[in-house]
Amino acid sequence: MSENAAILTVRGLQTHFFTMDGVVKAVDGVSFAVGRRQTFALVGESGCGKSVTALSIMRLVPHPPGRIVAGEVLLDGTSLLALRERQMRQVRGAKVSMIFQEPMTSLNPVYTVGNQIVEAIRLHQRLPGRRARDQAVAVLSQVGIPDPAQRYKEYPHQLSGGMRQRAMIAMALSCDPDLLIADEPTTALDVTIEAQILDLLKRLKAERGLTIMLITHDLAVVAETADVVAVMYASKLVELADVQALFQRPLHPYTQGLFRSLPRLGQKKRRLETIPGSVPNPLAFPAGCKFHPRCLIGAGLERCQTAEPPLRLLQPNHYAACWECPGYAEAPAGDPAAAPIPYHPPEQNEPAD
Amino acid sequence: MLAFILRRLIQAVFTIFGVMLLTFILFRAIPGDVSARYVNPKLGKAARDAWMERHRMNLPLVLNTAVHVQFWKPEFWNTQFFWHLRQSLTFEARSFKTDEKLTKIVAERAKYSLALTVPAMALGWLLALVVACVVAYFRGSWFDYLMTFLAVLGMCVPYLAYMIGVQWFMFNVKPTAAWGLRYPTNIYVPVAIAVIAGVGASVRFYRTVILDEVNRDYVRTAMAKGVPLPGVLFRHVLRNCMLPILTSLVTAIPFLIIGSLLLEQFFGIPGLGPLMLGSINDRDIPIVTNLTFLTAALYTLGLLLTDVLYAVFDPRIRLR
Amino acid sequence: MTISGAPGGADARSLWGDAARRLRRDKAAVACFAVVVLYALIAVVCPFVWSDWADSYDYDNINRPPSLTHPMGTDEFGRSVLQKTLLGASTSMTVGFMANIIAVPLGIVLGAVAGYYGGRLDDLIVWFYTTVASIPGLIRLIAIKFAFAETVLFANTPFEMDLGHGMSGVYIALGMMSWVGTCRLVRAEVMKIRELDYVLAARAVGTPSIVILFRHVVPNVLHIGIINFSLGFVGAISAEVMLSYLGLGVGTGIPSWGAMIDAAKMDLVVGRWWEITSAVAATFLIVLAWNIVGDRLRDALDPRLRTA
Repeated sequence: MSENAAILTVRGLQTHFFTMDGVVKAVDGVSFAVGRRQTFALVGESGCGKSVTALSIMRLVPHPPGRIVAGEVLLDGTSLLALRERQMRQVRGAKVSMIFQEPMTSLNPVYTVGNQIVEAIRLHQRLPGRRARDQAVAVLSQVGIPDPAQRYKEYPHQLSGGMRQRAMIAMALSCDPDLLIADEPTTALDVTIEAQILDLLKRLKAERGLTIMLITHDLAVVAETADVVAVMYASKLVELADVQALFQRPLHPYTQGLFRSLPRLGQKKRRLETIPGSVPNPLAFPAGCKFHPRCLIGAGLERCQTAEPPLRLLQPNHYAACWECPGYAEAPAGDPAAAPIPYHPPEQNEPAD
Repeated sequence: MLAFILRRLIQAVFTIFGVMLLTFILFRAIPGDVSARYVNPKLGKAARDAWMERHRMNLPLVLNTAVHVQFWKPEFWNTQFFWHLRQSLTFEARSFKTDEKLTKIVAERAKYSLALTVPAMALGWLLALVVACVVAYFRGSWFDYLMTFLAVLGMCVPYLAYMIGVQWFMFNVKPTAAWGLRYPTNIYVPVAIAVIAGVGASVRFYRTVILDEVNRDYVRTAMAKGVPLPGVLFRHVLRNCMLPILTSLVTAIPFLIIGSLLLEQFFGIPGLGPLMLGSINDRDIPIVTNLTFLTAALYTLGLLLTDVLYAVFDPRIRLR
Repeated sequence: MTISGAPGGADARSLWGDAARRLRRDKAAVACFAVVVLYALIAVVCPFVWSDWADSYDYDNINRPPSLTHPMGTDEFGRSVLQKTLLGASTSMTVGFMANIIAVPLGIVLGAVAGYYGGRLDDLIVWFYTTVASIPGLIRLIAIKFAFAETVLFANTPFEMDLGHGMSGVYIALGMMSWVGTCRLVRAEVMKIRELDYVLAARAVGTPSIVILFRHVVPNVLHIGIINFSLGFVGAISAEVMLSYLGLGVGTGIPSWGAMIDAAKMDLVVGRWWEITSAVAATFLIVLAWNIVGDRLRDALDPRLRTA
């Protein structure tokens, strides 16, 4: 198993929304690589462009008004942006699948769960009805749905929130994709259900050798599941590192701010810190570093107000974009899309295939 | 589901009662005495009283207060309102003008109305739905804009102008087809007008309904699993649009019966439309009342039917 | 769907300010609004300019085709068709305006009361509008004109209104019959607003419910009223044309597009096309303008109402 093979490479991705009020650069030059069997987390506040990044990879950006204007998306070496729509359809669901935040509205209310899974299976695999049905029931049971033969016949509204999300995962995995993009998969769920779903994703990853791209705003979820983390702020990546490096030594002031706003055990603080200010309006990003108006370090510095720092390789496999990081001036630019950041958590067992 | 249907049934009963009340107020209470139109004034008061008595116009309006509050006595209920209720429910009304029974008149004329409205509705609905699906399929393209623009333009021409224009055209091409039903094939002219004049609004309505559904999350899910666009539109979206589409279809049922008032009048088709208009001019109250009641009752029953049908089709309601 | 990067400034501005800004940028909406304003001006000014038009008979020049002296020809009394058409704008705009000034407030008040108080009152109002709505539109209109046939309001006063024959009968009938749509939408919206925090807060400090209703709730549904006002205008103008054809219109002597189109069913055959052409063109333009203004208003003020 080659450690450094990237399953997904995104290079210089730019997705813009052409609205009446002007061009919204929702994703503006994002580059990263996702290693096989990694869980790659894309973290950021709502509105920072992380969902649009995911939709761009799937080529499902609502058009109009959205359009991918530049960049490259490689899946296993295939350039997805160069595919014809018909070829792209064969990729969706078969090689890359996606699950969404709200499982209630993401399933079609008028068809049974089984019907919707069979639809996915029969689109990508030439199977007779019975075999497709059996496969659907099997995948339902794999995602931990009790009594799958019965659930197969039920409608989405008859399932609980957690079961619905499991059914969504079953549908996404029914054709055995290599990459699963999970867009805030637990945000709409209760905390206990959230833990169950995250456990399920971990288990599926180990069992099936799945690569997961997890999109979330929740650092607790990241700590729980991710191997590599990319922090996104105002349409760009500001930091990229493996989860241990990032949690132990965050470099970018924004990431540091995010951690300071988390409660920690053993720390006696009267109240949690927050990052002052709010996410900038994408139609009128501040000049210079987009974070500087909220930054504890750079707010008054002239360079931060005038020039935008590019992502640079500050430490081995640790990228950040901040003028004030120690060693930033000398650091090489690096290419975050060249190779995935290698990381395998020490306690994790090698999956048995 | 049974509870749901039962509740809608009770609501329908209340609505139908409401319609009887409304028609009573509009056609009996407000217009007052219309006997002068039907009894020659020269015959004097006696003849007029006789006419009033025969049509029960001499009774108290709602309650017979002369009998005080003795509601167990039949006279207490012997009022215009309760006769009106009875007449509405049994369709036993007779025309003031010809003294014919309403049921007989309707039976004679309904076939002409149906001959016009059934094909007009079926064709119009089919055409609008097909065009709306195609337009929704090509949403955002020049074809979509062009068709939507044409639909809006079509909506903005007055209905009357369509009728006059087509009639004038027919008059130049084939004069015998421009009026009346001397040749049964003449029915195609008003049918065509009904379809053309209505298609713009319907296309726009169905397009909005379909596009509204297109932006839902489950459509994105379907795209994400690789369903091709026709599959997304026809399998996923259309099925979810059935409620508004079905409703728009069923609510058009009263027009099947009462006919297309304007078209029938204009092209001299002896359906229920001209009957309604003629009766209004003649102040033939029983006919106007009962035709109105009939359409309203059919409309209410139609809506009830939609709800039942939808309860059968939509699992969210069926399994509640 | 969380599309990041949607215009973030939208929530900073008010609903009305944002809508006005969006509409100003929309060239079609601005053009159509200009058409509406133009019609309104014509409607106000022309009756003063040609106050004696109705009696301007000229029997030497009846049914003349368009010429330099009469750009749109003359009618069967030798009167200018162009003037007749412009004066017809006054009738149409009055009918549309008055019908909606009756219907929209009626719908808002009934809908708000039903939605806010709920319970028996809600049942009663819902029953009332379901009943009214169950009679198809045109028949509803004919029915109320029928009932009004011999009704004269404020007889022998300066405000006399002959509901059976005059223009007032048309717009009162239209107004009384077209409030249902507004009522239904407002009721649904108020039921949602009722549960919002600021209403609950007002209730918690003991504000009387009638004050909450008209200070806090109704202002938040006014946009529905505006949208329905513009779309109702279209309905009123088309209805006026139909009523004229059925002989239940504004009555003879008042210039009206409905009457002009109706008259053409005899005229076209003998080649007199100018009267129907000017009336249809005038109707078409204003209906188109109102339709687009109403649509854009709806998009700008309440995207959720699109299907309604």
